[in-house]
This record gives sequence, C-alpha cells and structure tokens, in this order.
Amino acid sequence: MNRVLVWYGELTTPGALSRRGLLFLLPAALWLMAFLVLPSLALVAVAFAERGTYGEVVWTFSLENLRRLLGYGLFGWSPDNLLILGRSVWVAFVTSLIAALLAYPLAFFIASRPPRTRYLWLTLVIIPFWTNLVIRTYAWQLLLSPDLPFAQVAAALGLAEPGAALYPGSFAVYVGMVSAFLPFMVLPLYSSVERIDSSLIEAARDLYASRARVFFQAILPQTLPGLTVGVILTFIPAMGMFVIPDLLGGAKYLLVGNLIQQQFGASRDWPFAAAISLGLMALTLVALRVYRRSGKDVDLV
Amino acid sequence: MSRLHPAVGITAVLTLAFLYLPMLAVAVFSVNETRYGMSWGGFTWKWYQSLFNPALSPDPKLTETIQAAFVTTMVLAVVSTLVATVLGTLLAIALERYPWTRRARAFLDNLLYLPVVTPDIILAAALVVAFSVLRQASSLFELGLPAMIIGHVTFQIAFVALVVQSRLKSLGADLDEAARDLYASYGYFVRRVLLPLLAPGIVAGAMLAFTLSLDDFVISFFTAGPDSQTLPLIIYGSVRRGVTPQIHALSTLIFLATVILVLLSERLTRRSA
Amino acid sequence: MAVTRPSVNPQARAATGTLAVEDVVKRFGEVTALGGVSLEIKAGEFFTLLGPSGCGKTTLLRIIAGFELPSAGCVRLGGADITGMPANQRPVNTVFQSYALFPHLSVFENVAFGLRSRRVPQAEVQKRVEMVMGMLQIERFMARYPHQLSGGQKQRVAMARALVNEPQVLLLDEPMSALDAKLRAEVQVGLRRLQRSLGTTFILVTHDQDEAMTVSDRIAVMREGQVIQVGTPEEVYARPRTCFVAEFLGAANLIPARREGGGAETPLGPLELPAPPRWEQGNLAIRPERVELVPDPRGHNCLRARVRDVVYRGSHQEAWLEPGGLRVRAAAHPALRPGQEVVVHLPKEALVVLDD
Repeated sequence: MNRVLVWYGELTTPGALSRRGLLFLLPAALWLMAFLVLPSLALVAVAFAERGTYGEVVWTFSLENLRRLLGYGLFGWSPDNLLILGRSVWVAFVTSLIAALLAYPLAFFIASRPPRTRYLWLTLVIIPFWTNLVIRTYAWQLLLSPDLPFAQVAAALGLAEPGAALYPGSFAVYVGMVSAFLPFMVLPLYSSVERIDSSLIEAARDLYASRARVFFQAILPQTLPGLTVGVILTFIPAMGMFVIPDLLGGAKYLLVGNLIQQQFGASRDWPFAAAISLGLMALTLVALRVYRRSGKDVDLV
Repeated sequence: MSRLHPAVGITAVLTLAFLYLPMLAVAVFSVNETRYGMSWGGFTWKWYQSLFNPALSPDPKLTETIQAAFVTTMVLAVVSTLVATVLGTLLAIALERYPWTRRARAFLDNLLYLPVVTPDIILAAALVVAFSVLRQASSLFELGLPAMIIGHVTFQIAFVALVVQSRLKSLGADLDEAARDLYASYGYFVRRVLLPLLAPGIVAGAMLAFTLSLDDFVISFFTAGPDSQTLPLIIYGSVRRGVTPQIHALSTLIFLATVILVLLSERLTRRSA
Repeated sequence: MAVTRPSVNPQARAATGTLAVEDVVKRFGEVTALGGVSLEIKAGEFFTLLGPSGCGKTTLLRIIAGFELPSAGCVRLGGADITGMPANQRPVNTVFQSYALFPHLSVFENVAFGLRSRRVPQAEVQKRVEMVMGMLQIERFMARYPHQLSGGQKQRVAMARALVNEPQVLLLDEPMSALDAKLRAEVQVGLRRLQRSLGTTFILVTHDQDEAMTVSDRIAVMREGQVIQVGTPEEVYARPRTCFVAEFLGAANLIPARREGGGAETPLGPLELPAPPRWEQGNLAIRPERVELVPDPRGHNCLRARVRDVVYRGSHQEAWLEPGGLRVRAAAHPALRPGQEVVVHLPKEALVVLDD
C-alpha cells in the first residue's frame, strides 16, 4: 500500500523515510556493531574459554574462569580476587563521598561569585578535568616523594616513616582518585546549585533551622539531580580505574583494573581477563540500576 | 546566594589549590637545573629546549621518541576526531529526526550510552580480543596506529552524537517546516538550514572528541603497537623507568595546550550560546 | 497601494481561486482533532478560524499548509485537489506562531529564502525582497539578525518572508500572540489594510475574539474539531447560533427558556421573541449593550430588577441585576448604585433564539 505521511514538513512515505533514516544511521551503527557490540560479545565468549599452555585461547567451554574470579583456584579457595573486586567498589565509594564533600563548598563558592567572574572560576575547574590523567597522577608521585613537605610533615607527625615516600599505598590512591574525579563531581553539582531557589534556604534560616537541617532539608533535595550525576560520573570510572592504582597503589593496593591489565600483560591469560571484565561490567550495571531506580534521567553530557 | 560562611570560601579555595598543586609541582621541576633527585639546582629552560632539539638533549633518543610520539598523538587525535564527528553527527540526525520503533530506539539509545558509562578498560579488553580475531583477516588490525584510531573513534562517536543530538533537540521542528513552506527541497534544507544551525554543536562535539582522544591513556595503552607511542604512553613509560625533567617539561607543555584548548572551546560555546 | 506581482510559478498562479476544505477528518491515534470540517474560503477573503485552544483550528491550518495529511477528506485550491501536494510545492505560505525565523540568516536572507529555494535570479530576488520589505517598513533591519529584533519586528519579517513569494493563500498561526496588547491592536489594523491592498487570501488562526472581529471578512467559530458557525463578524456577534458562540464572542446574557406559544417563558417572566423557537426548552441570548434601562414598564419584555453590582468603565458602566444575574451595559450617567430599583427592557429584536 502506498501510504503517505508528512514528517517535519516533508511529504513522504514510510518506506522512503526509513530508507533515508538508515542512510544516516548505518555508518555509525555498523561501526559500533563491528567495534563495540561484537568485541563485547567476543569478550563474553572468551570468558568461557580456557587458556592454552602458551597463553593462547582454547575454545572449550569452561566455567573455570568465573570460579577463579570467585576465589576457587588450583590451591583451594582464596579471597584475593574477591578482595580486589570489593576493594574497587570501596575505593569508588570513598572517592565519591570525599569528592562530594569537597564539591559542595566549591560549587556554592563559584555560584556566589559575581556573574562576570563566575565562568573564570568554572574554567579553573574545567582545566584539570581535561588535563591528561597520566600527567596528573605522576605529578602526585612527585608531590608525595620523601624530599617534599607532605612526606616530611607526615613523618614529623609520626604518620609515616622518615625518609619514605607517601606512595605507593592506599593513601596515595585516595588522594589521586579524589583529585582526578573532583571536577566530575563539581561540574554537575554546580549546575544544580546555580538553579537553587535560595528563598527556601532563607526561609529555613528564618525558621531558626540548624545548619545541618538547612543542608539536609533545603539544599540537599534541590541539588540531588546534580549530585547523582556527579556520583555516577565518579563511581563507575573509579571502579575500573587503572592508571591511578597502577602508579600510586603499586602491588600493595591493586584494583580490578590492574588485575585485568596483568592478565593481558604478564600472565597472558585472556580468558581470565575476560572473566574479570565481566565482573566489572556486572558491578557497573548494578551501579547504573541503583542510579536509575532513584528515578533520575541519565544526562551525562 | 548571600551569606556564605567564610569556611565555605576557604574550603573551596583550598580544594582548587589541591587540584592545581600537582601541576604546579611538575611545572616547578620542569625548570629545575638538577637532573636527578628533588633538590633545587637553579632555574633553566634547557629541558624545554631539549624537547625541540635532540642535540641539546642529554638523552637524544628520548627527544626523538617524544617528537615521534607527538606526531602519532596528533595524527591519532585528528583522524579519529574527523571520523567520529562525521559518524556521530549522522547518528544524531538519524536518532533525532527519524521515526524508529520503540524497540529499535531503546536498542540505539543503549548502544549510545554503553561506551559512555562502561569503564574504558572493558572497551580496551574487548578491542584487544576482537583485534586478535580480525588480525587473521587483515593486517589493518595489527596493534598500532590504525587499531588505536578504531578504538578512539569507537568511544568518541557517542559523545559527538550526544552533543549534536542535544543541539538538534533545541532546534525543534518549526524551522524544518518553515524551510519546507518556503519551497526548500530536503537537500537545500540540509545545506542551507540544518548544517549551519548544527555547526556550533558539531564543532563542540568535535572539540570534545579531540580532547577525549588527547586525554586517553587506557585504550591507547592496550591497542598501541611498538612503533606507535602516544605522548601519554611515553610519559607513563618514563614514570616506570624514572622521570626526568624533560618529561616534566613535556607534561607542562601538554598542560598549557590543554588550557588553551579549554579557553578556546569556552569562547566558542559562549559565542554560539 | 498598487502592487505589480510578477509571478514565479505560472502553474501555481493559474490555480487562483477558492480554497475549499471538504469533510476533513484528522485523527491522532485515539484522539479526533477534526471531525469532518467543510469550509469554502473565497479568493481575496480575510478568513479567521476562531476557537479555544484544542479546538482543531491549528490542525486545520497545518493541513492547508501541507504539514499534516487529513485522515479523510480533501483540500482544493481553485478546484484542484492539493491534499497530497507537498508543502514545498503549494502556492501557500505560513507565518508561524513562533515566527520560525532562521537565526543564522540575516533579515534579508530570511526574506529571500523562498525565492532562493526556487533559484530566482539574484536581480529579481533583490528587487522583490526590497519591495516587500518596503511595503512592511522593515528595510532598515535588512542587515540585522533575528535575535536583534523586537517581537513586532520579527513578526513583520515573518510576514515579509511569506509574502515575498506571492502566495495565493497566506496562513497566519496566532501571529500576534507574542506581542503586547497595545502593539497588537496596531498590528491588527495594519494587517487588515495590508490584506486589502494585496488582495491575497489570508487565513488567520486565533483564540482572540477581538482580533477576529477586527480583521476578518468572515469567521469560522470552531469547537472540539467542529465548525460551529461561519459568518461575517456582525453575523456571528449579533446572531450567534449556540450558547458557546454567544459566550465566546464577547459578553452575553444567556436566558434559559421554555416555549410558550410564539414566545418564551423564562425565569425573568414571559418574553416575546422575534421568531418562534424550534425547541420546547432552550436558551435565549441578549448582549448587555442591547438591554435597555427604561423609566417605567411599558409594553412587553419589561421587568423590574434590583442592581446588585456596578462597575464603572469610564465611557460606560456595567451592572449586574437581580433576579437572573442579568448583565447590563449602560451610559455612564446617571450612575447606578447597588440596591437601586430599575426597570429593564429586553427589546424583542435584540433577543436571539439559540439552537441549543
């Protein structure tokens, strides 16, 4: 049947419309199919294969890699892998929390600046956001080295051994993570703070509410959209972070990203690497599910 | 926004200092005469000069590697940005201006958000596995520059498409209909109305893609070949071996380039707004 | 104003004539936006589709423009069926409610857009754009961009952009809704004069009855996807067919009534009517300015009432009376006072027997 319709002012037929739509769609869709969807499926498939003697992939179906991820190894059960997974979630959580705590004052501060200088302060947050992560991370190695004040103060306070660097270790990982993700938290939070209805805050103050009550009952509900976007932009990439734990955590503080890289590198065990990736993907989906349940539209850009 | 507690301002400024302290340290050590260790040996530009002239470098080989990596980084960023901008813009138009069934739309939306929300190390792992299979078919998929370009385009497309899509949304259907009403054919409408109006969105998307490419470490790390090192890979490698002031100088220059890029894109988006 | 109009598309011009809408139905899924509308709009007429929001007037306009296809029925222009003609081939142009000016093009290029789409030679583009801009007095904005214009200026650019194409029919979708009240009155008069001098068919969509009365040759009052009444402003105002029309076009007193011989029995008492009603029970209408205050009851259709509220309006006063909440518009002198006893006369010829 030769049905016609008008679409954005153009008289056309459903057939002609979808043909032209496909013309626009196909280049990118095919690209993403070829280099995103199929590779992801391949990764899933490899997770159920086995490692050959020389590190090649042997295509026999096996649940061995998932069992290993859960800790069942050659030498009985060990919590190592689960510990790393759990630690990745924990680090992501703590990073999000500290970043949020630091982001609130900064967002309010920027919003309180006069409109003409406000964008300058915002630019100050945006610049580190776009600065290469490897550079920002090794810079912390520099700052935390034993000859510089941070390590010396820590040593003087008895928090670290004299003459030792403050990395590698968990402290350095947290410092690196927070400084890396802070802009991701500040920028969406700022867009919420900017739109805050300050009369509600004034009203709360006029009713002699304590500072804590003003925050939890007037400020937090209004900034929740920005905060949730900030948390999702921090939590998920933080879980899979590789550079920061690699340069600042070392062998002492491995995260799941390092574990995956090790399997591709030194261990040359792709099936196990794929299995860990599936584990990380599962954690990501859980995080997104929790986020979606809180009823917010994903608006990440 | 009145009556901010002074503690808020102080915390905010300290937080900003915390963000800039690492870069400051790198910049300071990039003009330090001392080659090894952390002691101050006096001011010098020589590490910067050595980046441009291998003859002035204490490690001419490193200088050559850095120069080659600079070329690779730029080729990678420019080519992948061009490809991703074309693909992403077409995708945005397809998604925003054509009637897809509910299921097709859900699938496409997920396809778009997947690379945005998945940790990049998973995409890197998937690409490594996929390339090892594709390599059987074509040498194009050997690890190296082409593989890196493919990897970068794959995560850039989504960002370009999302930026262009939001611009398309804000345009609405009125202008399409107005152009039609004024006798425009589809081609004339695209040339004379749609593309010029999308241009700020396309440029913003391209700049985002370009910066993402310069910023990327993980995808490049997994897909790079021996002859295709990017600047972030060089810096990472030298950190493992021990950083030299030359690397500090390089990092400072990259930081300054980032600052210029950010200011430029601010100005662009500000003007089009 | 004598305007020579060199034609671009001779075929389109050959079709000059009546615009006919025949049994047009438009459904959006479950919702029926237009339930079988027929209209005949003569060449050179200023025709207005008037109704509250959601009555289908904009949908009808979009069907005439070619932005929607009717689910059934057809649109004819000069006898030719144009229902399936693409919007970019119709000799019909639209002034959008949002104006939809192209923000990246100068005023000149906005106005020239339709000519350039059809590859009109540059010299002619220049001539015609300048002419139409002169006609609308916007020559001095030629080099500006839409964001540098005020609402009224944008509106004129949108008009110029449509009129430069010399359409047979110009469609105007609430073109004055974005203007403030004072400017609107000015623009309405200008619009009317422009249409007269061009002789082009104008079809205006509005929900503003004053606007419709000011500019139109004829008005179609629409409600819930139906045309309720078509007529000149005088006709629809003085002879509304239904309660809805009576109330939508200005103030009206509606009086529920029962047929009693050739007249009617009402809560106000028995009333004589110009014509016997065709119903047993229905409504009568009378405009407040047609209600007369008289010194004492004489003859038919007179009744005693008490003033409940008075509003002073400068040139006149309005009063609400008991019983029946009757609304009266009277000269400002002598001033009425609440509680005052008055005698009113509802002239027989001023009473309208409504259909419902």
